[in-house]
This record gives sequence, C-alpha cells and structure tokens, in this order.
Amino acid sequence: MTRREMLGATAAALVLPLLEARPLAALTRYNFAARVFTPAEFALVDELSDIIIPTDEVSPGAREARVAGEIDRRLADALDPEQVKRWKDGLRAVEDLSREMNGTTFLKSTPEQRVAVLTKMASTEDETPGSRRRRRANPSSSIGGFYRQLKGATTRAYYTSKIGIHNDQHYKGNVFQTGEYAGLDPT
Amino acid sequence: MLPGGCDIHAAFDSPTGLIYPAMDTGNLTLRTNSTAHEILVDPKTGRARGVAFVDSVTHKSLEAKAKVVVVGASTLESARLLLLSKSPQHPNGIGNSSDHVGHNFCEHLMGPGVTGLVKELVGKEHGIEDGRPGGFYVPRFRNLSDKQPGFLRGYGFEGNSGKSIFPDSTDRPGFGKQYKKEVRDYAGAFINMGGFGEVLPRYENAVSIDPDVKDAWGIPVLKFDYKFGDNEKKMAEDMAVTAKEMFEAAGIEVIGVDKELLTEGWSIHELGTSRMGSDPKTSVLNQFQQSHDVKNLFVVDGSSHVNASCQNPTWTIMALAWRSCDHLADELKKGNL
Repeated sequence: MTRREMLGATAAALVLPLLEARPLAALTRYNFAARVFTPAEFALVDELSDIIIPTDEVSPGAREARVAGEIDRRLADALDPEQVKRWKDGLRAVEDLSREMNGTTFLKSTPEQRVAVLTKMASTEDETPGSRRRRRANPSSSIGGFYRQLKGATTRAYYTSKIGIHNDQHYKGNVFQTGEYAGLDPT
Repeated sequence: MLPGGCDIHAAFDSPTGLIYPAMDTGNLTLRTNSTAHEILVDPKTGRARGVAFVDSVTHKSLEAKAKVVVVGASTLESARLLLLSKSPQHPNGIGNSSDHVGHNFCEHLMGPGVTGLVKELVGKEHGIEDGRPGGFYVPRFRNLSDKQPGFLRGYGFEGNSGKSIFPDSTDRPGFGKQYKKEVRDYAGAFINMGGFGEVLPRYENAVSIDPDVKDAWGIPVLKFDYKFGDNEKKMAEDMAVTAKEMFEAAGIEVIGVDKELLTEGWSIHELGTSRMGSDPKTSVLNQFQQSHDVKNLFVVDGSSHVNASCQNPTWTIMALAWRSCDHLADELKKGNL
C-alpha cells in the first residue's frame, strides 16, 4: 500500500460512519480508496452515476460497474489539475442546488427529490439535432456544464466496463471463426 | 497505424521503416534535443554551410557543418527556419529571393456534414460488425467533368457507421432507465459523413516571423495571416447540401446537418509555404525540392506542395522525399554538390 492509498483509506475510515447506509455500502463493498474524491464526494458521484445509468431488466447499473471509482482514477491520472477543481466545484454546486430545492443534502433527499435535482441540472442539455458530429466545447462551470461532464464521464466509464460492454451491450467483437463464415452473429 | 508506433514493427512508422535501417548503415548520427534556429551560409559562395542549433538540455549554442542541408521540420517550422536564416547574401531569409517563403499556406477544410439514422437498425442485437474494415470514403466528384458555378476544386466525404465496442448513442438526451434503453436501442443505428475539402493556395495567406514574440529558446515564433476565402465558404455550403441529398437518396433519415466550417488550422494538414515550381521568381523549390537559390539546400516536407488537394498528404510527402533523396545521391556522386 502506498502512502497516498493509506492516507485515503484512513480518511475514508474516519468519515464513513457519518455517511448514509446506501453510499456507505457502496464504499465498503468495493473497499475503494479514492485518490481524488473525499469519501463524501465519492458517495455523491456514486449515487449520481447510478441515477444516470440505473440497474434495469437487462443489466446492472453504474454503481455495480464501479463507475465512481473509474472517474476517480481518471481524475487522479489527469494531467490538467483544473479538471479536479471543476469536479469538486461541480459537486459542491449539486449540493447547493439540493439544499435550495430540497432543504437538505443530496444524499439525505428522497429518491424523488434526487431525481428532481438531476432533472433541473439536465434542463440545460443541448438536444438540438445536428450536433452529434461535434464534441461539445469545454464544459463551463455552470451546473448545466457540470451535468454534461458528469453524464459524459459516467457513460464513458460505464460503457467501457465489463458490465457495460457485455451485460448491457452484448458486444461480440472480433469472433474467431474457423471454417465457413458463420455470418454477422455467429453465436 | 498505432499511435506511438507499432511495438513489434509490423506496421510502417519512421523509426522502423527509415531511421533504424539508416542507423544500420553506420552513416547516421542522430542528435536529439537539438533545436535548429538558423541555416548558416558561406559568405563567399552564398551556399549553406551548416546549421546553428541550441541543445535543449544544456541550452548551449552549437553548430553543425554540412555539405548539404536537408530541412524536414514540417511546413510551418521549415518556413520559420528559412525565414530566420538571414544573411547579407540572403537578406529575406535563405532561399527566399522570390519572396514566396511562408506564402501560399494552405490546408484542408472540414466541418460540414450530415448525421443520419437507419431506422431498420434500431434495437438490433450486436453482431460481429466491429471486425469489419471501418469507415467509408466518397472520392472527389466536384469540378471533374462538371463545372461548379460557386467554387474551384473539390472535396471528398469521409464517414462511418455500424456498431462498435463503445456505443455511438451515448449522447441521447436525459438520464435514467429511458436513457439507458435508448443508448442500447440506438447503438450502431447512426451513420455520418463529413466533407474534406481543399483550401486554395493564395499568396496573401502567409506565415511570417513575429517581430515581438519569442519561444522558450529565445527564437522568434511565427505570425499567421491566414483566412478562409469565398471559395472555401461556397465549398462548405455545397458539402452540407450534397451530403444531405446523398443520405436522402439512400433512404436514410437525416437527423442533423452541420453547416459550419471548423476554424482555420483545425484540419492540421499544413502545406505550401515553400512551393515547388519551374520559375525561380514565383516558387521556392524545384521539382526535387531543391532550393532554386541555394543548390545544397533541400526542403523535404509538405512545404513544397503547390496545393492541398483534398487528400491526406503524408504519402505524397514521403514519395517526394524519396525522389529528392535519389536526386541528392545522384548529384553527390556526380560531384555537382
């Protein structure tokens, strides 16, 4: 264990009892020592990502796919320190919005109230057709900008996970075939 | 090609195909961490006699002597080096008696295009289509047998479609179960293509030495006077209209049309700052990319291209460099250099 991991784990152990049951479960189940997020931030990202991509009848959701951990890893490895700051600012803005709308923190809000906060964040989403071929400009520090960042990072982490690729997308990739070509779907 | 080269040397890259074989001859010395800032001139003959450079680790100024100087710093840096190399014999910069070094800067044009939805593919299960060769290409069709009223030259279309390991449907709106279902259903049902066109070479599109700004080594940087003209704008309009027509004719539902040009410089294929030609008054290099003014100076990169055409230039750059090297070897053998 490196010094940084140990510090992260120690910090997590100190804060964990303060958190609610569900995010606590998420943290302990994966025994994850976040490198960038505080335990409270990690729990928030974990919950936000699982609302964006929840478990459904086909596949498990973002929590099961450990999306928050992947986002933390990517941020820890990021070359641009501004990225971490944008995330921390964004998460604070989510908490501010939650207190404004629900009178309490995001994780202490009811599931319906949490969805309401995300719906509010999503209301600035650009749904104009024709923008698919372009990468959107750098996300701004606004709550809408952070929503796009959060959703982008969540989908990126989820659909590159084993769960996203196999359980959800049923990706087949390059199937090794011998003999006669078995067609587009050889399974 | 893999970014960073192919580890097992199965694919072509410069180290595998060119640099290691050259080192194997025993005649190559590779000096890395060396930033060249001037081509030195023999005051008696006006010919190139070597290169002045800074060791980027020790910051020491050094010189390398040479019988022949071959510049291959890519279009912009090569122009910069030539323009920086001023001497009484070459007051405008070496090889620049024509006043064409830095001018006729051109590149490619991207941005306009179309996105379509193939309804028959919505909700289809993954096949093994990721194993197909990816992408498609529509070669240039404008101003070949026809004559467009609005613009000269032309463009091709580059596009792609099909399911891939990462779904192309993650920008569906919203979140939650509905979003997740839409990502699943729409994955691989999109098709898109965009134009890839020629920016005309024009004398007034130019790079020059910035009188004020210097880089980390104290070497003056380039200044850009470069703008798309009317031809580029008309061509871009045609790209968007034609792309839409093609998709509609193919029975694809058009869900988005991009009309905007990506900004100047976006498409990264910089070309044309030391153009090739037979007339020393209107060109910098001859057909062997050899300076008209200074016979022992060659520029073997995209600088020599007289126009950008609508294709990627790397193979042409390599083919021309090969030809230049053959010519150089011949000339050295004949004692002409």
